[in-house]
Amino acid sequence: MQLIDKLKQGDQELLQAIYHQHKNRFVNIMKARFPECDVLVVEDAYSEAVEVLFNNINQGKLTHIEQSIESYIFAIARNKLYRDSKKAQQNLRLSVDLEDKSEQDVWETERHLMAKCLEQLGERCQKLLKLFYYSYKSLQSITTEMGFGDTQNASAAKYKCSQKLKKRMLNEMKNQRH
Amino acid sequence: MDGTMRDNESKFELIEKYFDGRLSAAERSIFDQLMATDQEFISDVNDYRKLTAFTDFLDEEILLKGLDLSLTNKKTNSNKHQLAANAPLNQKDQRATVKPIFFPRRVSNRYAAAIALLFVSLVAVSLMFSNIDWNQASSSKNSKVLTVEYERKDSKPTKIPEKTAKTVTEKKPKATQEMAFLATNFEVNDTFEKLILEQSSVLKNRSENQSKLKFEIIQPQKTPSVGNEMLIQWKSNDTSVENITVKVYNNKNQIMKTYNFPNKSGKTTLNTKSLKQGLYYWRVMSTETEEVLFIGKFTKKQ
Repeated sequence: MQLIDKLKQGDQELLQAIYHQHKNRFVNIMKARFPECDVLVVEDAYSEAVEVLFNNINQGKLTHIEQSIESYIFAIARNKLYRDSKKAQQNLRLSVDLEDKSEQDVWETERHLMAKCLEQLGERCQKLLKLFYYSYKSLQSITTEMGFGDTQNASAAKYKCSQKLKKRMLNEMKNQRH
Repeated sequence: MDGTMRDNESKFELIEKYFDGRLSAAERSIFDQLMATDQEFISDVNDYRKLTAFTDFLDEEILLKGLDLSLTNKKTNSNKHQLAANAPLNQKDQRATVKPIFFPRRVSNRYAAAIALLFVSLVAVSLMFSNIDWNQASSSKNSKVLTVEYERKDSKPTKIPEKTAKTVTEKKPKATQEMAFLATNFEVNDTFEKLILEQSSVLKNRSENQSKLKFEIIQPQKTPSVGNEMLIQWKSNDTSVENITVKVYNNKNQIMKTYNFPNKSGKTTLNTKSLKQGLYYWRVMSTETEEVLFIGKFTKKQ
């Protein structure tokens, strides 16, 4: 039986195990992203994320795990922390109204930088990231299209390519500073 | 040139590991040292944080598409806007309007604040009136009558009893006020309580399985009432923890004190003299990894 089915059947022990398995790692990672956040707030976001994920599975909104259960929990919790943090309210947050063109996408600079640095990557990394970020293809279909054995491999490759991209973007930002 | 490149590579690796939560104790110390001395490194870390927020945003808009991110089943406005925020720009490259995502929530917060204010005012008014002894005031021969005349000619003068000296100056005794103030210092903190409950359930399960505990507090047990100091004793089976940090929080989640001890020592005394009467929570963490090893609570007596 798949993990998601077990959770749907209300396997509380499994949920508890998942919760404890990733908690410390999440707190550790989030401390770097949100240095101003108290650990308790981060832990709260994590607990809420587990609950939100469970609710979505129960309501049938999440029917299969595209990456890993951990990536969903982290993304939900991270999303909450970004939304809640003061910084997020000032810098990250928008609602989209396509009729009004007067204001800028807050990520405009990063999007341009990303487009520029993507071109500097190897062909395979370029293809993978463009399929994921620009064509919104799922890892499942990227796996098939690019011939990765399974989604785990595709996910690992995506991580490595993202790191390469970030490294180039960071160097660009560094050059712009000087 | 090569040396500089290698230096940059290793610095990047450090930053990458830091954001992935993979720094070893030795790397962490180098990282902290660079953060304290190298301005360029600090800028790199800040830029990387920005980039990470951007890639997180991109990942989330794909991964969380179609999911309900609220805890309740009701779809809130903020969720609707959050999903809208995640929508990509359209093919005509029309730009997005930047609006605060929490606008609807802010509006509802304002309603909530207005209702809360109204409620507080009502309570205040009812408390004020409850302090006036109306029977005494009206029956007292000495009580004066205050007449208030409105500007409107058709309105009749309204008579309201003037507060007697007793009722005007009547206040709660100082001791009662102090007690009420003190009581707030003893209110439990839900988040800490939840964590303690969670911890005790994990401990219970572990002891049932007879497994070896990584870190164990021998003393104090339960919730001690302490005076000017609190003795703590622990047993650690984790040799990777070299030093421990003890943080003391008040019931409002504010850090009151931080202590550092070598893990080997196994026992120490916390100085609690400067703490006011109240309920406090304490957390033992590994100094190197900041992993939480124990959460407890104590009350400070006078």
